[in-house]
Parts: sequence; C-alpha cells; structure tokens
Amino acid sequence: MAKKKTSGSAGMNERTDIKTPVSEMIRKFKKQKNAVVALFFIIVLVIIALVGEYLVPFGINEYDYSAILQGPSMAHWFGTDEFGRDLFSRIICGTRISLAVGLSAVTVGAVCGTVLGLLGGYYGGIVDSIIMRICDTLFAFPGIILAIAIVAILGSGLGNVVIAVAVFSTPTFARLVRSRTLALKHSVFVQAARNLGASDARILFRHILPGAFPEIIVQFTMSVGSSILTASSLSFLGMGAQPPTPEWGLLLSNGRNYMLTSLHATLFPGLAIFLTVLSFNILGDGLRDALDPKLTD
Amino acid sequence: MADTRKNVLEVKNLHTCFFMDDGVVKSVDGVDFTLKEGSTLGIVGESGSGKSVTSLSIMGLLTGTTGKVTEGEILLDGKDIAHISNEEKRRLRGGQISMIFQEPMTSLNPVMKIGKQLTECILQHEKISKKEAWQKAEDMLRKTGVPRVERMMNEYPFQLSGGQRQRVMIAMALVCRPRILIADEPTTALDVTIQAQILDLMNNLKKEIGTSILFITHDLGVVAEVCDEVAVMYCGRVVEKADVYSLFENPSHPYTRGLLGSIPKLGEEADELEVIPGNVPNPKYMPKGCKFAPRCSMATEKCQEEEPGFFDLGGGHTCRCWLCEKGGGEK
Amino acid sequence: MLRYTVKRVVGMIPTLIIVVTFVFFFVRLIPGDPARLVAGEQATLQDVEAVRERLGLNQPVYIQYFKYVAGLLQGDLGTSLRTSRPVLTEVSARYWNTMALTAASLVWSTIAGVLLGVWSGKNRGKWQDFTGMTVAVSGISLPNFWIGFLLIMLFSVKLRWFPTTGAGTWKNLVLPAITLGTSIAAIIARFTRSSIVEVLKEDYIRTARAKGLREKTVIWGHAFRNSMISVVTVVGLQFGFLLGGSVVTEAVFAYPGLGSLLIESVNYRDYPAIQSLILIFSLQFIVINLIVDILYAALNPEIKLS
Repeated sequence: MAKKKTSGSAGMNERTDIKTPVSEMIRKFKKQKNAVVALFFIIVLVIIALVGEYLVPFGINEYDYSAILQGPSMAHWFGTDEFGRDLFSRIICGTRISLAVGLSAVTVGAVCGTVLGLLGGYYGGIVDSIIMRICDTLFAFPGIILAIAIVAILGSGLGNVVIAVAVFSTPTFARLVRSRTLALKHSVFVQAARNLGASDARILFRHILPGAFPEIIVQFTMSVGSSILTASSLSFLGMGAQPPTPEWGLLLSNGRNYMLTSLHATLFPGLAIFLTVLSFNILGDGLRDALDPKLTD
Repeated sequence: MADTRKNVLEVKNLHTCFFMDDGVVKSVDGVDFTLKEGSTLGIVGESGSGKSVTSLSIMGLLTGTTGKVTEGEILLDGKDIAHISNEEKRRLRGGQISMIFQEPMTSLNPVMKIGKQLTECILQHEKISKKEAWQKAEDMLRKTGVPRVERMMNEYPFQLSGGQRQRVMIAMALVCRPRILIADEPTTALDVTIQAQILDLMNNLKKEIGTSILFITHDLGVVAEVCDEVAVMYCGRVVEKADVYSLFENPSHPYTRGLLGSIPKLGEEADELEVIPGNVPNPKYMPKGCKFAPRCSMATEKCQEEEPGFFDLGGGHTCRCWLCEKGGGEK
Repeated sequence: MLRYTVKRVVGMIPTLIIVVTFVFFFVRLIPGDPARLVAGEQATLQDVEAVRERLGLNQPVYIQYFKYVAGLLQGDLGTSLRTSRPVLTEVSARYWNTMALTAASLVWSTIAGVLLGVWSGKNRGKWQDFTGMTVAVSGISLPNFWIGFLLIMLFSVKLRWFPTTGAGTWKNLVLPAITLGTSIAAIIARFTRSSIVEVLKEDYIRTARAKGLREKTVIWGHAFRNSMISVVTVVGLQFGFLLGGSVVTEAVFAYPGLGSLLIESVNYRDYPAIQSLILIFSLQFIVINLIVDILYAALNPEIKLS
C-alpha cells in the first residue's frame, strides 16, 4: 500500500480526467526538459541537413591555398583544412550525410527486423526458429566487426556502410518486436479480431504492430545515435565515405594528420558527431521514460 | 476495564503526507492510539485507509519515499521518535521497534543465506561476536518452530516454503527482543492452516519475549484471534476504537458494521454476505463531511456536511459517527 | 552448477558451427575469382590455375568446407596474402596486446560504471542522479576515436605523460584503455543505475531497512549483489562492443593488436587474414558470453544450487 502511494494514483483515478496513452506520453515527455531540448536540436539538425548547403559561406570544395590549416577566425568559424577549405561549411554540409546514413540504415534495419519479428512471433514453429537462429548468429559477431566484414565484401563506400549498419541493427528490432508479438498474440483484442475473421496480415499490421510501436520508436531513436557513431567510425577507418565527401568521421580522420598544429581540424568534426549522437540518445532516453509505466513519478 | 499497564507506544494526532508532482496526498490524517505494554492492538481497515503508512511512519521508513510526517507525535516509552534524526531512527529499527511484512515470498533477500540475514540484524544492534550472534539466531529460529534449524541457517530463501519464510521473518524481527513488533498483514499471503500456526506463534512469542504488537490487517477474523484492542481506520482516520470484546459485541460505526458483515459466520445461515458498496474515495477528491458518508446507508444530511468528532461510548469505546451522538457527549 | 556449465558449453556448439560456416562462406561471397586475387593482377592464366590447384579451390565446395574445418581444428588459419606467413603466426603475435587492452578497459570501466551507476541509482531523482546520468549519456555518445585524439593532445603532446603510440609497457596501455573503456563504463553505469533503482523497490530492501541496517549496508550488502545479477549479463554483451571498439582504438593509437591487423588486412584485401580475424573476434565474444553465463549462475543461488 505504501508503494501505491509513492508510485502515483494510477489505480484510483476514478474521478480524475481520463488520459489517453498518447497524451499521457506527451505529458511525461514534456516534463523531461533535456529530452525536449534534444528534440529541438534534432529538428534544427534536420533543417540544417535540408537547407544548410544553400546557406554556408563557402563551397565544400572551395580550395584556398592562401589560407590552409588556419585556426578559427571571423572568416572561418571552425578554421580551414589542409586545402584551405572552410571547415564550418564542410561540417554543416556533412550533417545531411550523417543524418541520411544513420536514418536510412536504421530504417532499413527496423523495417526488416520488424517484419521478421512479427512473422517469427506470430507464426512460431520452424519460421520462428530459423529467424531467431539467424539473429543469434548475427549477435555472435561484435557489431562493428560485422560491419567491417560486410564492407570488406562489398567494398568501401557510404552505400555499403548503410547496408552493413542495417544488417547489424536488424536482429535487435527482430527480437524486440518478436517478444511484443508473443505478448500481444494472446491478448483479448487480438483473439477478438481473429474470431471476427480478420486475416493474419490484418491482425499483424493493424492490431499487433501498433502495440509494438512505442518500443520500436524508442529503439529506433537509440539506434540512430549508435548508427551515426558506427558509420563515422567506418569512415574514420577509411571504409566508408571517400574524400572529398565532407563526412564527419572522414573529416576527423583527415584532421589527425595535422593534429599537432591544428587541433580545430579534429575538434569540430568530433564535436559535431558527439552532439548529434548525444541528442538522439537523450531523446531516446526521454521517450523511453515517457513510455515506461514503471516510472510514474 | 481499568488498565494500569504502561503505554509503550502513543501516537498522537499523526499526519503523514505524500508529496507528489500533482499535489499532496494526506494518507494519515490525525490518527491517535496507544499501545499498552504486553498487549496487541489491531489496526483494521481496507487498503488505502492509511494503516500501512501509519506503520511506516512509526518505523521511520518513509525516508526515500515522498512521504513525510507533517504533524503530531509518536512516543516510544514517552520519548518522541517522529522528529529525531534518520540515524537515530535507524538505531531504533530492528532493535526497539521491528516489523514483519505481508509478503514473505519477497521480503527476504534472495541471494543471502538465512543465517546471514538473521545475524546481520543482531550484529547491527548488539556488540557481540559473530559466533554468539549465530548461536542467538539459531536459538530464535528454533523458537519459531521450524525444522532442521542448523541446515536452514545455510539455505537461501528460495529453498523455503512461504510459511517457513514468514517464521524466519518473525525470528528476524524478534531476535533483538524489541519493545514493539509491527506486523503488517503477516498472514494475508499464507494458506489458512499456516495462518493459524503463525498467529499462534506470534501470540506465544509475544508472551515469552514481552513484546507489544501492533497488528495491521483488513481481516476482523484475525483481529478476534490475536488482538486485545482494536482501532478501525478509514481514509487516514481512526473511526472507531475499542477493546476487542466491545467492538465485536457492539460495533458502532457503520463502517465497522460493514466490515463485520462481510465476514461469513459459522452457524449463521446467510444467503449473501453483506458488502460495503463503493470504494475508498480518491484522496484527491475527499468528501467534505464524514469520509464514509458516500458509502454509508445511514448517512444523513449532517453527515454529508460536517465531519463528526469522537463520541465516547463508555469503557474506552469511542466512535466517530453522528449516530453515536445521542449515546454520549463529545469527547 | 557443473551440470549447468556443461549444458552451457554444449549449448555453445551449434553457434560455433554456424559462425564457422558463416565465416567460410563469407569469403566465397567476395565478388571475383579468389584464385585470381591470390595470384595477383599480373598473373598469367596458368599461374591462376596453379594457385587454384594449390588452394584446393577447384574442389567441390563441401570438400573445401571440410578441409577448412579440419584445418581449423589443427590450428591452421591459412596463409596471409600480405606477408605470406601463416595467419596463426600473425595473429598470435598480436593477440595478447588486444587482450591486455580489452581486459584493462573492461576492469576500469566496470569499476567506474558500477560506482557511477550505484551513486546515481541510490540518489534517484536528485542532482547526483542527474549528474551521473548526464555523464553516462555523454559517455555513450562520444566517438572513441575523438576521445583518443583529445587524450593524445592533452596527455602525450601537452603533458608528455604517456606515449602517443606503440605497445609493450603499461604506459602504452593507459590512453587506449581510457579511450576504449569510456563508452562501456557509461553503458554499465546506465544499466547499474536502472537495476539499482528497481532493486531498491524490492520488499527485501524494506526488510533490510526495517532491521536498522546502515544505508551503506543496505546498498552494498543487499541491493548491489542483486542488481549485479542483471548487470553481469550486460557487461558480457558489451564485451562485443569492446572488441569492436578495439579496432578503432588500435587504429588511433597505432596499437599493434588484432584490430589494427584487421584494418591492415581489409586495406590489403588479405582475405584469409580477414576471415580468421572475424572468426577469432566472434569466438572471443562467444567464449566471454559463456563465462558471463557461468558468472551469472554463480551469483544466483537458485541456479547455482540446482
């Protein structure tokens, strides 16, 4: 009873206003100030990714041999690289690449994983066994090692990085969706839908999938952060983006040759990666806490 | 019934509130009662009546929750324990006041051996060697009537049955010979046969050790078996107080009558058990007058408007109901 | 406990077989003719055929597979295309460097992560919690190559406390271990925190408090051990992360370990080496998870005694 008191009045709000799950989630999310800030930052990033290219003071491949490896100044906010290219402009333009790589890889992974998880969880039996075996195998490889292996087969390049990251984020989604499917499969409303003669596809996509959606969103947000990190790592190792693409990991890798004299060339690209990944992770945390019924107070 | 026994525990005008994001919930709202040396006081009420929060307030176990004693006194042997430091409260716990809980299955640490869990408590409160503490723990455990004590000391909780675990809890609570034992629904989670055994055990150990018991329950049947006095709680208030005979003989508050009516009686032929209609009101939307009025079949307009005080019915029997107004003057 | 261990070891075998099979076919997925790759761009058709013969690539796939497995069982990992030496020799020279790095990282990150997590968890909702979790979420968001550079700039270039590159002494290990362990420490801190928060809600914690135990005893004697049961599993899974991170970290510090060997091999298209390294990383991961499973059982009396 004491517990009930401390954990809120969930069970006894007979006369309180009725809250829908979504509005409740938004209310809880809004209370997490840092998650709201992170969301705002991500929105800004998306805008930069879309239009930044047209706003930057310099072109991404605008060489200026009179101004190589200059530190931050009024003209070059983040300094310049070894060809005198403006680092600020390059980082702004790199936003689109990092976001696109992260989002597309996780979207592919999430869609594949969700479909596999739904099928495995709903049909069970041999289908489930095969899917889970594949997932276990993928889990047996440390993530980035698997990505390196895939890039080693397919060759370097951002497209292949997307595939590699998508492959290793698939099993996470598959497991998540599968366990939700198993839980929802026997719920009353799914049984009712089945009794009313709904097709399997309809049950899966109209009844079970929405139930798993909140968890998928949280996992998606968290995965975007780690995927951006992985993708930039691969570019840093020379397996992802190729010069002169202004990809952040590549910029950092490039900057390390001049590390001793021009710290800005590694500092700012790293900061860009860090803040982007950080905001996705904080947003993911905020969404998770807003969803978690255990954390009512 | 004049009683010359000393008061071990006096609770005076206790208020305990929980401070939540969306407001303050008054869980205990001006509770008074006394526990006499060597006796058992039953606190009876539905869940949500504030009986468990009262016990946690006495134990000083509200730290870490949003709850706080905002008003009133808790006197242990005449000394206030509600407004002392957390460190002082901690030293009382397990030594002077101890507690057993409702859920024997989850109240023991699953990864710690029984012996360790028992001796830990002794070593915290008494300056004796580990070996002596172990011996003491074994003796206490033996008193609770569990078989193969030596082996059990080296076992983990999952190897024990529910009844055995509750016996271990009782041993743990009594091993330091506390002044007061608070038993919060100690038998609710157990089978009926085991229930009776545990109640017997508590009665026997109470006499042997000289502990006074505050017995918290929703079950008046259990009260009849173990308690000397009873306080009935509703919505954070005591609504009726009496010795156990007067209460069962002459239940005066409609709520008490309702609680009694919902126990099946042997030999009486009743087609239906009486139930109290409705639920405990939401603490955020407390009724204005008598808190029980919305569920009371005898409620008058006065009940809706004005909250009654205590009326003395004689012999220490008091009741917080307008219906008792004629029966005696306001206290 | 013994039965449990044996069961786990036996249960590992199918995964092992799948991983080995996967790695074997992985090389066959590479576009182009492996014999031509081995023989080199300038080789004549005859040379290529000779290589094909020598490597047994003209045999049916299943025979190649069995030969590969038989070779593995005898410790034959093939020959490096880059150095023409057995891959096993290449690997064993660097294996212990990577193990030292991962072990050092795991030790400090576990200690730091657990302390930070417990500190945040027991002060849930207070400033300590907020601080601890802000540090932790930053930790998981930091690109480790960036941390590496910043550490080199500060401790090697500015303060000259530690060397920038190389391996062999403990001084070489410090900066790479910090770099590699940061994110793991952060992950462990987050899991420890949520686990502690959950455990502190348990009834037996209330019992421990009711006994009048000191808060320190309640946390470390009762809550900690219970929360570790779930934290241990996480640490095990993170070991994969650690192995992956070692690739990047070793590249930053030019640390001669398996990770930098993998990068060199990928750049050189040294397929036998890549194949073996991926196999070794996975095996390592599987073995660590086995150890974690056993540790989990050792912490959990219900499994230990059954």
